[in-house]
Amino acid sequence: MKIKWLSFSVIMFALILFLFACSSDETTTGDNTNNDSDLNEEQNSEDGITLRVMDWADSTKYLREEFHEKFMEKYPEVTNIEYTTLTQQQFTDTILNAIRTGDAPDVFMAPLSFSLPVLVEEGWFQPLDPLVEEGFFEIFREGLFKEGLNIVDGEIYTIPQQIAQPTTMVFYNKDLFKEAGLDPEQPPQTYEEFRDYARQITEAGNGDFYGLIEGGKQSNRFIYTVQQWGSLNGAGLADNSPVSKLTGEAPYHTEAITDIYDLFAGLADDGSIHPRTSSLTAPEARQIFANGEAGFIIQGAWNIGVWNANSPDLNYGVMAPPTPTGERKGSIDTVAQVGFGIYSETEHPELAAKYLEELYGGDFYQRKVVENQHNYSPVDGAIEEYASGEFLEFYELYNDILVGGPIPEAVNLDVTTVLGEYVDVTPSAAEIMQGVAISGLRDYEPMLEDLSKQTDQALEDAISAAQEDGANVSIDDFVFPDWDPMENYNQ
Amino acid sequence: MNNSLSVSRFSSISRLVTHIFLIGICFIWMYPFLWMVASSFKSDAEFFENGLSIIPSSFNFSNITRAWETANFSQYFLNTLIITASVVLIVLISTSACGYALGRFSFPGKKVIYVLLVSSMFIPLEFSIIPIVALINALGLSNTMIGVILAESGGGHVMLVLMFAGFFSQIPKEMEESATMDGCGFIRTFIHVMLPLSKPIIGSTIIMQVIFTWNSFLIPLILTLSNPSIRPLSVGLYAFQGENIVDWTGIAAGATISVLPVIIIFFFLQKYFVEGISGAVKG
Amino acid sequence: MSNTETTLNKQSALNSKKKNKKNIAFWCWMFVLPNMILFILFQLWPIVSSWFYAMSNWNGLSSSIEFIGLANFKELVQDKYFWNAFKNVFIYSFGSVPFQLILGLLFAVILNNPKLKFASVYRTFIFLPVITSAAIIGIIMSFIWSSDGAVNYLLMQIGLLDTPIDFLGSMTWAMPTVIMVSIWMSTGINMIFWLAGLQGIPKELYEAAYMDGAGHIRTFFSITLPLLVPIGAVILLFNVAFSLRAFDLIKTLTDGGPFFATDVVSTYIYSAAFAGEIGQPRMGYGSAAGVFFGFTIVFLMLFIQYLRNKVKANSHV
Repeated sequence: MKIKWLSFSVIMFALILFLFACSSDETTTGDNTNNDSDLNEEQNSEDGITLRVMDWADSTKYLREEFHEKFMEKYPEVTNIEYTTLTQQQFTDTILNAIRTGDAPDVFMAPLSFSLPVLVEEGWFQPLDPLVEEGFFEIFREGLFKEGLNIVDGEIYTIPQQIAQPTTMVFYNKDLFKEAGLDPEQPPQTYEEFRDYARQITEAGNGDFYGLIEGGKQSNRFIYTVQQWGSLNGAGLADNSPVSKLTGEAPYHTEAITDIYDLFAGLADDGSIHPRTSSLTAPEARQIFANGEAGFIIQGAWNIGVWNANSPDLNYGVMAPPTPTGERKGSIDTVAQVGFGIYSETEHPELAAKYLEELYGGDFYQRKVVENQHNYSPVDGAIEEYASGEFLEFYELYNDILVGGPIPEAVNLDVTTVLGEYVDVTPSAAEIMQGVAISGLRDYEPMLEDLSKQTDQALEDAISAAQEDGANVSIDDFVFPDWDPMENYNQ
Repeated sequence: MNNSLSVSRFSSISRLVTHIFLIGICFIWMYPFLWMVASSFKSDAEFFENGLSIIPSSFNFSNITRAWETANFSQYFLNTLIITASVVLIVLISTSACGYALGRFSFPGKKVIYVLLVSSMFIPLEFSIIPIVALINALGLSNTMIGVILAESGGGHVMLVLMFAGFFSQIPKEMEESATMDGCGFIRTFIHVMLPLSKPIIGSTIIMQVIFTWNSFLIPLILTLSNPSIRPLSVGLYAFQGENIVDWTGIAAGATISVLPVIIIFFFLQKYFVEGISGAVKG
Repeated sequence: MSNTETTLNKQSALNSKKKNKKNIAFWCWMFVLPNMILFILFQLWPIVSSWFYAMSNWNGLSSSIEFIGLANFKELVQDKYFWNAFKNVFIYSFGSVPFQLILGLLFAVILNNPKLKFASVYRTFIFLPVITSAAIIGIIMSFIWSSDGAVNYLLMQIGLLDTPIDFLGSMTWAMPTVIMVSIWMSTGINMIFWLAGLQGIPKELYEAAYMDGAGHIRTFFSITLPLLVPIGAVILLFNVAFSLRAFDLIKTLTDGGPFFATDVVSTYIYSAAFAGEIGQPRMGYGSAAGVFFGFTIVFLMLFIQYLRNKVKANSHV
């Protein structure tokens, strides 16, 4: 026993020595880092520059790496591009801390939950105009840059990764349609048909496949469904306003929204929702759909590239979301398209700008992301030129039902202050939907009424708080009675 | 005495029952692990299709090689090893010493320390990362290995301190007294008499801390933002869990290869839990 | 160094007891110092700063922090979903802690037997859930507990169920399921702690008991259990504290759902502090929830301690 103890101490002692040897090395390199402001000795000797880029665009990571190779060939002074993709949540955590330590990447996406004017005020980004070549912004689609989202006080700060698009289109499995005796070229258009199709598919599946699958654990998926499907019914909701842009009131108790809840309650009652929906995230649901276990899935265009690359046997179609009667009363109005900006404290602003110029203006990346069916490029003409197959089909389908609605911040920048004060209501529309779709919640109508009332109240409170802070703002800044929800809004 | 034969038969039956029971239990307990290992050989479709099967339809090693490369295994493994070993050492020294003082002596301030430590156990710390990063930064240690090690060793380690304290308080007084009579000092009594006795606690401390440090992700990620050469494995492995694409088989493969060292450490450290201290107490 | 220390100690042994005491107190402080420094820097300081956030409406981003006094706390105690999370975390804790303690002890006692073959292999296997990746556990559990999964299949085979249950999706079953998974996951670590505790019991005591003809079960209750009480208290404390702060497992299994059925305080804090829909993240409010919860627990513990002392005092009279 003594010998064992001895051996243990020896190992521990060795570990200590090892640690000190290593850590002293580390301190010296650490000091170098601080003094020379370059990353490590290797790079020092080559006099190279490292550009750091961070986002959550993991689907296009392989293309981006290829792009980086090409970029470094063209700009040999850049010897290393350190590209990090994280999940959105990790990204937000990381970037917040990185900004605090003055150590943020040279180029990064604006995190989703914060509004751009706030980020600019906090000094995260620098204006792009003085950095990029003249005329660079002309390559983009018209109306791409929006005040409050990409522009603050007339200066462009961020460039969207892609154009606005719905995230709740419906994909369906054509083979399962056939097995259920349904015509794969005639997808359902009304809620009644949708429910009916889902039931027939479930019956044909007899436990092997079901009508609908969703990433039910992620309640944020349901919020998109409520907002976008509801807006098609004329609810006037969008991701940049808590209330209807048509009426200035929360619409959750109106038919435009309650119809959606009725539909999902019906789907659940029929047993048409895949039994594993409750414990899946969206990417998991996507894979199970690709395995042929569900007739429908409500998702966005980013699935297309993944399926075509990884599940070549999946025979699927895409359709616009159904509506209660088959006639839509509004359009999907979605705006949150975040983009890349350049860190205000970056040591290489010119090269960071070159990075963006090449990313959007070069002849490689934008072509590839469209060809490989990942992103709808914001560069003018790129989609029309390079998109094909389901990716093009999806684009054409949604172009009919998507409009650019009014943007409250663009009319009155003080709206930003209100949204900064706004407190989300619990339970949210998404949480109620989750309850309805997967856990048998049926008493949802009073909850939706409550949600409407509380949302109105929360907005009112936020407005008074903003007014107290000196913001010149009122509920009228959230209402656009002159907007026809079938058309783009002329700001 | 006269029925010793039947006793031994009884004990052999009971031994058999014990083994059958344990094998059944072990199957339930290790099943997800087996599934994870199996998944590292599966294709993406099979991962979900063949639900509960723990035998992959075919063995392909592409996931393992991909995990190896994506996670920068060969480079990051050494970093993980250095970080983990240092953290374990620091924690071991600080907690055993603290536990010794708290468990065996009464001194002014002891109660305050106890109350502080124990109450801190119950406070949810979802935000601790912000002050911790700020602190490491203020010390000028961000993007250094020392910074990562320090942040990872930080905290009160209340559980470990209390375990050491409880253990030391149980050791008979005579052992220490005889040591003091022999002319051993405070530190020497601790190192030569007490610490060797506490092997079971040392063993569980090492295990706990290894697991914790081995898997820790966010702190090392943030603290190594501009110095990827010092990142640990856990940061490398997270590349699989993207926002839109999740590489499940990659996760499974990465988790499998990264957890193997921990299993090996566990397997060999076990003897410290079961060897007992009776021999030492006798002396 | 050790020389001077030895002489010091010799002297103190000879000198008055008072000096000895002082000396010991000095060394005690030297011994607790490293751990206390680590504690103050990396735990106490974050806790104190969270009090600071708790009294602000900070969104986790802006450099200017506006103080709003106790408004967050006022809002908190009026939010029924906070109390739902508060209630849930206690259900979770009371549901899981006793079982993982008992199961852990059971395995530890069985596997502590030096004569048992393959004990170290069994121990390793039971320990595996502790080190299996959380993401993987989340996925496999969604297989096992789904309405077409293994558990339902088994229950229907033995006739306990007629129609399958969606365990993780049902508002009644989600919490019990999460509890069961948590018990399964934590048994291994508890077994390790108990094994460590069992080593503190001198083997001679067992030998003496067996000589007296006591059986395994009687020895366990008359010798093992009483001697395990001190370390058992620590393990219990750890389990309670750990379960009250449970986050990872619940996040991966249900994310607090369905419809708040498994929402515990830490997931409540998380969704308040990080995940805004249209509103901004509310770091201040989330901190307030953490501070409030922490204080409640500490207060509860002090109260229990007070009651215990009182009962003790009374019983002495």
